[in-house]
Amino acid sequence: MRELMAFEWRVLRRERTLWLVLAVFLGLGAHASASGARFTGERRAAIAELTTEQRARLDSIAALMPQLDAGTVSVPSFLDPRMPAIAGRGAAAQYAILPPGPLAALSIGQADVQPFWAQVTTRTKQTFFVNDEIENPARLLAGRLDVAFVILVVFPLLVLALTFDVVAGERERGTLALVLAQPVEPRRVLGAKVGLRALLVAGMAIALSIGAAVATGLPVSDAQTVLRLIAWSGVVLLYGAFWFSVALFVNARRLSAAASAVALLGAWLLVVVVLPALAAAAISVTHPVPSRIVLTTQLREATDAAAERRQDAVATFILDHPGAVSDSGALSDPLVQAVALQDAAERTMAPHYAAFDAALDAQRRAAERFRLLSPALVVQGALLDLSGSGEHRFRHYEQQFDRYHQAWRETFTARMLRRERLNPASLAALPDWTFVEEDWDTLGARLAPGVLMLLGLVLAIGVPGWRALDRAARTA
Amino acid sequence: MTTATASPLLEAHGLTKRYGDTLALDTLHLSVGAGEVYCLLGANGAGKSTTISCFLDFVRPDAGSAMIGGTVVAQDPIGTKRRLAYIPETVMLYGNLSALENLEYFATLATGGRPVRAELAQHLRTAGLTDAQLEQRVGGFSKGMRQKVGIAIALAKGADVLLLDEPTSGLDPKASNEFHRLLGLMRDRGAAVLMATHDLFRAKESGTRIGIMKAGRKVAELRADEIGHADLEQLYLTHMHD
Amino acid sequence: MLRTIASKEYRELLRDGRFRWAGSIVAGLLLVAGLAGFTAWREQAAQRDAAQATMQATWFNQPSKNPHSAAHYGLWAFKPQMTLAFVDRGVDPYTGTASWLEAHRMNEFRFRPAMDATAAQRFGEWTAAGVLQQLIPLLIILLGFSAFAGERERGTLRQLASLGVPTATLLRGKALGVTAALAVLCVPAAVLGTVVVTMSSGASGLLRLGALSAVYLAYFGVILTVTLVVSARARSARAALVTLLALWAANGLLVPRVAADVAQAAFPTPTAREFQAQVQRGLATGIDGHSPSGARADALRDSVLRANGVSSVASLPFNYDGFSMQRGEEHANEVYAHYFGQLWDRFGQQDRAQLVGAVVAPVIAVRFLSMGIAGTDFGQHRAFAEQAEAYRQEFNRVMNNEIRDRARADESFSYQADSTLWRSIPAFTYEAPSLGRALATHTVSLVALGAWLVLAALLVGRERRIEVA
Repeated sequence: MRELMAFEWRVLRRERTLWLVLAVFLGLGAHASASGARFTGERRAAIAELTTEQRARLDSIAALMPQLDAGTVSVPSFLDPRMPAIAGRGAAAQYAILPPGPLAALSIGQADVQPFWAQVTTRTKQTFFVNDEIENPARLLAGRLDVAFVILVVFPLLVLALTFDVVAGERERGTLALVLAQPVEPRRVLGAKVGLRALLVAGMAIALSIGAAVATGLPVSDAQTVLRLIAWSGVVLLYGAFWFSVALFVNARRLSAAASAVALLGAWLLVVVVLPALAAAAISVTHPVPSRIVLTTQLREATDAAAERRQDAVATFILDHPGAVSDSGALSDPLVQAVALQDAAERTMAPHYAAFDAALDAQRRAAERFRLLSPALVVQGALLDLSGSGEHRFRHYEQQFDRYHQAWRETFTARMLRRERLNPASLAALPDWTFVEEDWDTLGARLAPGVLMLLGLVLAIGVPGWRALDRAARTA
Repeated sequence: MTTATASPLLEAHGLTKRYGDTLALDTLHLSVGAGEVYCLLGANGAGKSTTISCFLDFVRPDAGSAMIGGTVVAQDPIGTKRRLAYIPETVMLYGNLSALENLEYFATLATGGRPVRAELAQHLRTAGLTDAQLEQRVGGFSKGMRQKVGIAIALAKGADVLLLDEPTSGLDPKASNEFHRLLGLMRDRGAAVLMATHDLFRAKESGTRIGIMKAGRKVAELRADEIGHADLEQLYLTHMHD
Repeated sequence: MLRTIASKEYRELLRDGRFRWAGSIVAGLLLVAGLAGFTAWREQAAQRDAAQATMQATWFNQPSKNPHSAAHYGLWAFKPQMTLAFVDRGVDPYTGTASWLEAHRMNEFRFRPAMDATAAQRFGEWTAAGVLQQLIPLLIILLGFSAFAGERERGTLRQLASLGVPTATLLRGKALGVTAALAVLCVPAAVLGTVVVTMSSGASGLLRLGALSAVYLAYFGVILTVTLVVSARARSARAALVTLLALWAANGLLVPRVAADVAQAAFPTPTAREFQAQVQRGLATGIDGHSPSGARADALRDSVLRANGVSSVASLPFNYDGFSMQRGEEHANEVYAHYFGQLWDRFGQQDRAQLVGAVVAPVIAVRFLSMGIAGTDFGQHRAFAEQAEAYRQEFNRVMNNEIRDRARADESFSYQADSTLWRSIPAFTYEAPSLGRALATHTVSLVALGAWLVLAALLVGRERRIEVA
């Protein structure tokens, strides 16, 4: 068997087109790795800058506070960081940072259209959850050539180019008859051909995944990263296996090489273009993106309404914070009133926000279902999820963010109502932001249906495909 | 000229093959012994290629059996293929490999072991290729040169049964002549040869026996040395007309 | 003879199962994309019109308050889309659709629809323009790859040549035949488009639809020519198909992405943080970096006092706070105009750099032209942003001048104005650039597409001899 494969390799490696195709593939992989590395590099630099800025700002506030207490320095009251309302609205505000995903350099995914940091203040989320990175919209429109794209779109073409004429080519060149006239099981010859190509495909899948990971400088000593990388490579292998079995299946149809190329190209179009288009259309029609424009007008109306009923707003606020008000003076404090108004507006908005989030969540769940329409979409979802550039990790971030924002507001509202003054110790005791990655169970549960479907498809197409090919290869 | 031995190497017993409504082979009997060259004549579609395909197990007969060295092909296709060599009208090879590399591949397939290169080269030389041609890629080889590689495959396997499907059609007279010289060589080494051909002249010259086929049936069989060229042509045409 | 060849080619294609399948799929996708695009467009247009009206009403109906509070209250401007945006959404999903107009600062656009959509949609969704730019070329390739190579393999080309059919006639006949087959798909689509556009935007929409059709026709012509020429020169139908598919993938999938990356590397944009820092520095110290705001404020006050011959701002004949706030606004306007202008010019540079890729991938030029005609390119986004900014500057100016002229020195921030003032500023309307002006920003794309057409014509003209075997 080894010798037959060696011969097959000898035949294959003299095909100039093979090397050309491989070179293009590797070139794209290299470009994609470089582009991913640059993207995450820029992200990390921006995050480092934010962290430095935050540390310096908090340190300078902490240094200023005793001086203000001692009266050696004075600032206008609207800049006094000891005032909870001032500190919470900006001076002491912390950055809620979404670090690049574990395999971020391999897939940019949705990361280029989602904010990755926000300075959490006591104000309403709509005012600060808006930090889009600057990017030429024409580039966002063109899409990114990242490693995930190369795997999703280009890798299948490579698999098909390598496999479309395993049998038809030999039949058309006439060599099949001569091979079959030899005293050897046709299955062994076929096995050598298919096996060698399978090895090549698997090798390329692994090379692209691991190679890109190493080239982009992923921390391959980190266990989490390595686990994710193994899962990622597994998905890529499975995707390769899917295309490989489709190719076997079509090869067994005894078509001419040109016809089988056209058939496989049709399959590629179906899986990579047509089915995803239908899935996307289905998602858009059944779960349209909820309108932020509508949300904006609602927020404005809620704010106006709260301002009109200022007294009601403040009264409700007091009832909501029983015992927290230390003295009646707090109520005439314009900063407290502002918080009360904001609270009233948020209360009106709560059902709207909930509806908006529910619509987004429903849309994401629907997307997970419709993904199953196409193996390419299944793999896209898995790759984005594993690299951490999909919508789920972002949603996970947003939920942690909301909880953090809630905690931040509560702690400052309480201090404000108690008319507390912040000192360096209370500054240090403020809630800290840390992002917790999704656990493997959640991630695995989300990936499982797609991966199982893919596995099922590989078996359902590959096994009969191989059997039929085995039969087809017995006749010249 | 050697005569046929008692136990034939190639035997067809009532071979019958049906494709839909068409009867491609109709209870065909024939046998070819060692040192014999059996030529099958007949129009296109008469069943010559189907007969050869039955011996190669490319086609399974609906009834009857094809036997090589006393073994039924359908029962042991691999075993019977060890003894035979097949040369189609055009010997198609891997264009990007040299003649020697092609032979190496097929010899490996044929013997299961790693053949010795020097021996393979010798076979190619015996078949009539020059030393320079051994290392050339066969992509640019002429039909005649390819046929020589085919013969070399037969030599490398030590095949004692040769199945030839119109091997000389389209060859120029010189190449054709050379091929028949090689055929003579194989015959003299004791091979049994079954050759489908349109070439009445060559059939008469190289053949020991000649069978004429029509619509899947053998309509005539005669010894080559018992008939003249003109008579053979006359006989052939007579059978084609009625 | 031309008609004979064309009609034979046409009949053969229509009878080909492959074409019928591929044609139906592309037509289906075009229909789905068009319908989905149109419904989304209509819904968004309705939402936006309603939202803009609400916003304008909240502005007009503000209770009596200090004009500066009103300026801080501000309003949102939502970007309208032309009808043809349903064919090509262009950069709209990525630029954001709303701008918050308020006192002191010019805000970036918010709410990129792409942010809220799922990754599956970003990967899978096709606009009608996407189908026209990527899938119709694929269809053309499927229709034409074997036009010569296939006939050569079957040996019929030899037959044709022996009859004395001139090469040029053969080429043109085949082109005509493929075009006719394609028209079966494209003409109904164009008719449908015309009906939709006429119903929703009348004559001006039709002019743009005409221009859009012309661009895509030119593009298809280029693709068709390249297809036939490759088919005529390829060794086999298989080789022709492989070559053409490689070209297709390069054109539609790879080169535009690589070109965008290269453009970014060649003309880098600042990060959001850098940009904000630049603007903050500009606001604090002036664009030149040598006039710190404190010193500038002092100088302004001194010069105003000197010019009016008084010693304190309280003795000025107008409200100094209103006056200096407006001066502050004007300084900020200048700073914002400078840095946003710089950033947007940079985008323009990047876009032109991307067009270098059009040497290999004409789709890049077509994409810019298509967006330009549909009103969804960056240039028209910028036009909207600039008009919204002008509106912002205008209402800030009116508010500040009201304080300057009407408020006493001690009531800068307690002086109350009523809705007469709010209503004195006409509602915000967006005047979209004309087609001519929109296209003027895409001259490079026009030239690129033109060059491809000329090249196509030259290729056809030069194809004197086609190898028959």
